[in-house]
Amino acid sequence: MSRSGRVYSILLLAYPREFRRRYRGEMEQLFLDLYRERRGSRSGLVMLWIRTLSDLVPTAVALRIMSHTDRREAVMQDRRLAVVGFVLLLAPLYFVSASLLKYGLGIGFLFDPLEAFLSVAGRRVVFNVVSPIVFLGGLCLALALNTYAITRLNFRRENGTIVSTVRLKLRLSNIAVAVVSILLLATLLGYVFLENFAYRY
Amino acid sequence: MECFVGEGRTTEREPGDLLPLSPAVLNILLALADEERHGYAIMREVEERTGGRARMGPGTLYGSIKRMLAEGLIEESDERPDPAMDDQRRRYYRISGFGRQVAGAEAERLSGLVETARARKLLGGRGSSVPEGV
Repeated sequence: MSRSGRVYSILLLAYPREFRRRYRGEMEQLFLDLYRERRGSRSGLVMLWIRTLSDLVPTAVALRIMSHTDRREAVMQDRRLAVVGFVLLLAPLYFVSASLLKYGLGIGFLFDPLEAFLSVAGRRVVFNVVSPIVFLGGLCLALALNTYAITRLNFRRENGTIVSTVRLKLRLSNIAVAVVSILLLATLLGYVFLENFAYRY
Repeated sequence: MECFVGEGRTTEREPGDLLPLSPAVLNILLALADEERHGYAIMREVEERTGGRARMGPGTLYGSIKRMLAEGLIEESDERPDPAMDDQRRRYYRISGFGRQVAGAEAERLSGLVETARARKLLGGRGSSVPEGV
């Protein structure tokens, strides 16, 4: 690579990392093409550098600002998904905690009000119909939304082969909601299995 | 072909939603309207077509390409016209169906402006002037 090409390569560091990762090779190739076109004349090379620098400075600043804004919007979106997931977790979390405290430790301050509420005729029937949908549906939705927030799938074709990559983002609130969803789902499904399929004497 | 799940959150849009286009975006769409091209070929086509009046540096070109890919105006092409003669770093781009609609809508919009300018006698002769950068 020519000295101009090497200098241009270094100057590309002015662009955001995501942008460089995607376009660096192409931009270096483009600069090389322009350099080859003009390397015969000194004035041509000077013009090339003037044009390149006058383009590089404003576009690097604009892309950095855009990248920062995009990142902030992405973080806000992920936080919204975490909040939605947390709200969806509340009902199953209450039910599982109340049941575990009552039947595991004999502490009934959470379960007793529920028991009293369901003692009214008709409420238990409604609860038995609605609760599996709300609990399991809510947990599955919370898990799906927050898995979506932390996972990025990318498929592309390289030399005739389909290459897939999975990227995981370290968003603690989304990961926490996903983990709690999995634990509650496992608890509820375990309970359903034991209630309905376990061998009884 | 690239398919993003999660990053490419697409919603229903009308071509008019993206108007007016920046000169760089319109020029890239025009350059890709008849064939697939890589970055250098796009740059050359724009310079030749506009007689050197519209020039893009690498940052403007690839900054626009990035946005246009995200908006679904253009697509990356799988095929290389001649892989043996070509550098692996080059990528080819083509206009999408939506990009074609958007370019058409922008051309209609500009045509309307030119008609208005002509009716108000701001244009000297028939097709005497082309807007800067287009």
